[in-house]
Amino acid sequence: MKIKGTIYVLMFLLIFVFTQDYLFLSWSDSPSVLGFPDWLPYFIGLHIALAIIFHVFQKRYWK
Amino acid sequence: MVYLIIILYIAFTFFGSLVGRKKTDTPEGYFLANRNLKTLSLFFTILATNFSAFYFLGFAGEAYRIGYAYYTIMALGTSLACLSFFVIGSKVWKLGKEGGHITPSELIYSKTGSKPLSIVYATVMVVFTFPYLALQIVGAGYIMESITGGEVPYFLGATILTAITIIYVFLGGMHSVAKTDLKQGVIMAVLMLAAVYVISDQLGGFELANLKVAELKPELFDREGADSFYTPQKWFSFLIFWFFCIPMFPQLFMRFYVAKKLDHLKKAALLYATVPLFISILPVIIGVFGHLTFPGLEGKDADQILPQMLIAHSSPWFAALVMTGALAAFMSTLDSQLLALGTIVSRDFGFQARSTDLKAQVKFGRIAILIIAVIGLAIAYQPPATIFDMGKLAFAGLSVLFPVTFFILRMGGVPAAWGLISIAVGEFLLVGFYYGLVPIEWAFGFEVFIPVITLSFLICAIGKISRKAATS
Repeated sequence: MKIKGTIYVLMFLLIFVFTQDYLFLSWSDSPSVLGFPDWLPYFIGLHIALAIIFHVFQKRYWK
Repeated sequence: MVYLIIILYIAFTFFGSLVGRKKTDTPEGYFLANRNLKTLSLFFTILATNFSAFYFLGFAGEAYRIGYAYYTIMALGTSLACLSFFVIGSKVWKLGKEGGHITPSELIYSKTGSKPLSIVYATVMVVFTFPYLALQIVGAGYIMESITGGEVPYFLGATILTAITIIYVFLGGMHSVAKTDLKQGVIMAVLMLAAVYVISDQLGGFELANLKVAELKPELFDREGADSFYTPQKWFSFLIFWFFCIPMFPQLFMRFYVAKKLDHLKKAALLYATVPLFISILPVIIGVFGHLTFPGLEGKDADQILPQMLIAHSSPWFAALVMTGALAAFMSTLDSQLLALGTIVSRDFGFQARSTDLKAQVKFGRIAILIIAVIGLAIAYQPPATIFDMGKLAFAGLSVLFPVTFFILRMGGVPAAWGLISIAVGEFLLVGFYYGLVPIEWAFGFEVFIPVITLSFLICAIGKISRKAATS
């Protein structure tokens, strides 16, 4: 249980680290889908990843 | 037509909240809807409570000033608060059910046995929620004035909407609030979606409108926001902020009590992790597109960009319809704040200690709600110039309670004296930062709540270690 908990903590921490994109990414000025900024899909992807991990977490770990 | 829409909306809200009203003459029934809310009701009452009219006016205004970067902060930042549903919410739910707690400080008292700590905890919640409550009333008055083209003056509009809110909270308690929030949450989301569709269609579609804005104001598309608003420290601060702040709103804390089963709380948390992804982008798009129709707005004028865009790009009745969504947002936050503060004031400050009669306890709660609403209205009559700053301060002020709460619920407790020191030092430091008594350089570029909450955590940790050392 403790190991599982630690894995989830690490996964959520990893998501948060990825939100700090300025540490390892730089973005171009070119527009993306429908003219939105090119970095927007990255954060939408992170948000979806958060929701999926949280879904698994609340199903399998949160008792 | 505008009046018809407003009247229909008010009637819909008012009677809808009272239809099927359950008996609420016990404190658990009145204040907590008998701890009986299921996933959807729970999720929408949390969502509608949390997404105040700031969602309608503030999101669009900030997006006008900062650009698309604001979306990430509000969508992803808010969703990260789903983790606090687990860290704080699940414990609050469990202990609340076991101990029959109704207010946050009743739980704190049961775990620490400290009356001073529980009173200070309740006081901080009331003091820092009051400006935000008054802001809802102020906002409701402005919107009513704006929709009716000034025919319903600001204070009359504020009074009417507050009175309606008082009546349904008064009669139905949490049950009515949750029912109303469910409808108001759906109304808010659907109307905002319709508004984005209509406005973007008028501007030639998303792609064309985005390309035009990108040509006009390319900085709105920067990841750092216009004028590099989000420095790395600010980005970090704003993304982490909601995790600490949201569970400490008294109206949110008490929502953790009302889930029927843990499973309902878990599913509501999952929805909370997901839904902001979709709904946060809507007002942000309108705010960014605002530069095409109303370039050059400065300061508070930018906060009016959403109603202005609606008026410019749709018919008056559609604009009025969407702005009733903003009224829904105001009322759904106000009702929850009134109920939460009424509950805290009537139960935590000793007024009910004299009464063992359950009906009398509910009566005390209703009187407290009435008094709080009247004080809120009095503040709104001539709102102090600093009220918006006080509203901002309120969020950070409430988050100072997080470290103590975390240590009590998750770390096996903290000595009451250290808990008190943690809260007192945190609040004084926060106020010091806001009023320039503490040099802003001490925040190292972060939002001030970061050093404040770090210090509060440290104090709790020292308290915990010192107790361990004393007992070993």
